[in-house]
Amino acid sequence: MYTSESAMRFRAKHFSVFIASIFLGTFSCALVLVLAMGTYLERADLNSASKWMFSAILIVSSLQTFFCLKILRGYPRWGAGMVLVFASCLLVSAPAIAYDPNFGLYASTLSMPLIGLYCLNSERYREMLQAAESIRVEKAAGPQPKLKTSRRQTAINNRLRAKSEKPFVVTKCGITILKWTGRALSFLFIVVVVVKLYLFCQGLVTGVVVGASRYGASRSYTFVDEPWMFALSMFLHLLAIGVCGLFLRLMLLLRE
Amino acid sequence: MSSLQLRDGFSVARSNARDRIESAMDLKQLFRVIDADPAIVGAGVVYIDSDFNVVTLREFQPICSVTVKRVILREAPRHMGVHEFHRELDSNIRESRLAIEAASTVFACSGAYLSWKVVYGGLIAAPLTAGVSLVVSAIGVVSAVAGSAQCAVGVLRVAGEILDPEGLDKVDSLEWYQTMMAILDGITLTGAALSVFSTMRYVMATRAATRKTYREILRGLSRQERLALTTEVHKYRKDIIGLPKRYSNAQIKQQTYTQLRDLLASGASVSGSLISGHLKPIAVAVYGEF
Repeated sequence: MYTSESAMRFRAKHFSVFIASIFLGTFSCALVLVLAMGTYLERADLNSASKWMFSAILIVSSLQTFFCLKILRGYPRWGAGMVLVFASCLLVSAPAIAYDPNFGLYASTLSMPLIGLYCLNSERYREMLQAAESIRVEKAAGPQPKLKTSRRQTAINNRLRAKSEKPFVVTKCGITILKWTGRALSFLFIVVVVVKLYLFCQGLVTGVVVGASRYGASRSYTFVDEPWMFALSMFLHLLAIGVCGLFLRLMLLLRE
Repeated sequence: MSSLQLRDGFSVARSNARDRIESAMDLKQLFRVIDADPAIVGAGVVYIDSDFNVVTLREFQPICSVTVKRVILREAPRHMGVHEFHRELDSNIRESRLAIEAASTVFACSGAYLSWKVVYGGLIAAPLTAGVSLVVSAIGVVSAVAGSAQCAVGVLRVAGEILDPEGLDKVDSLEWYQTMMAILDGITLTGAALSVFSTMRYVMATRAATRKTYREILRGLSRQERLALTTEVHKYRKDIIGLPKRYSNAQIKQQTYTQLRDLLASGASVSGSLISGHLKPIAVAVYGEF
């Protein structure tokens, strides 16, 4: 959105390398767990193994988020944490060769953290670290005193800036595509709101609600037997209605 | 195409198939066996023969269940042996499930991307101020964690679907797993609501300042309007440091375009998550009706 110029430049320039490092971390963690499922945990009990893996995913993603937040706030030393995540993935996956795993899986599991480490070591990532730190220093120092220049000089500067900034060309086609995508999404969301309201009312009246889980076969929960899951499903339905409603309100605001 | 030939308004191939089935099978015996099972009493029976002619042998009768139930019998195609056909039916279901898993992984990862984008945009710009924005940024961070976790889980599920499908089914039926996934879903949905809401704030600011449509804003604003827009936007921001006195036309155009794109991206991500997860019960219900 509308921000200061330094932040805007930072945002436009460094987002790709930042998100790449995060996704590489997530994927390497997931691949290591896949490898562990076939090798270290082959004989383990399925229930405890899946619990273990789920908690590992949660821990790694929250650690990664913490490190990335520190980096974004302008403390580049926390980049060592990201290195730790990748290095531990590498260390865990390397000895699995003793179990004779699938070669393609093993190769990709090893290469994913290596690519991540390369990403951390790249010039663009270092630039991002430096830029984030300089923004923090700038904020801490407070507003810079304005240099007094002549009107003539200001005019020249403005002219130069206007020349250097290439105007963003928005073609008519792009706007039309945006408009039609917006309409399609609005239609979909109206349908979703109607159906969800129906499910919600049904749940209130009969005490049986269809679960809103993303994975696995869909199940229905009764208020008497599983009150927690019933409440959670009802809440999720309400939340979905809320999100769709917000979006529809926004589309109404944009419509002319 | 033989199925296009009609006799008395009915397809010749289909009525031939019906004759063949009726002469080959004892239909009454078949229906009796079906009705003996209490779960499928009165179920409709549909037969698909080797040339893919669909013959309805019996309509559904609502004897003890209101929801429509059908038993579908399928003949093996001529070029296939029995074992091969059996194997193909098994793998067919699995393949479509793999595609569904892959799609929902892509949606989960796009949700993670979106929530990271929100966190990234919010943190660089604003210093933490107590009150609302603290809550907002906390929700953004938590939804980023949940999004990354869901992305990783999605990759694991795709791998599980390839390597060990039965194990995946077992994990799916675990109670704690379902609860955790529902909670994660809720968190990411909250994050999406947050991103839509923050866009909405800026849209309202823009409208309040200029009273113009987005198309007109993209066409360009006058000097006074740009000043009004800038002051209006600054009202929403706590950090005045480094903000320009008046945005240039090129900047405003770019910001507006980015806003629209972000809005559609968040909408697409939410609808992806809805389609992959929250609409499944409806799909099941609709499938049951036909």
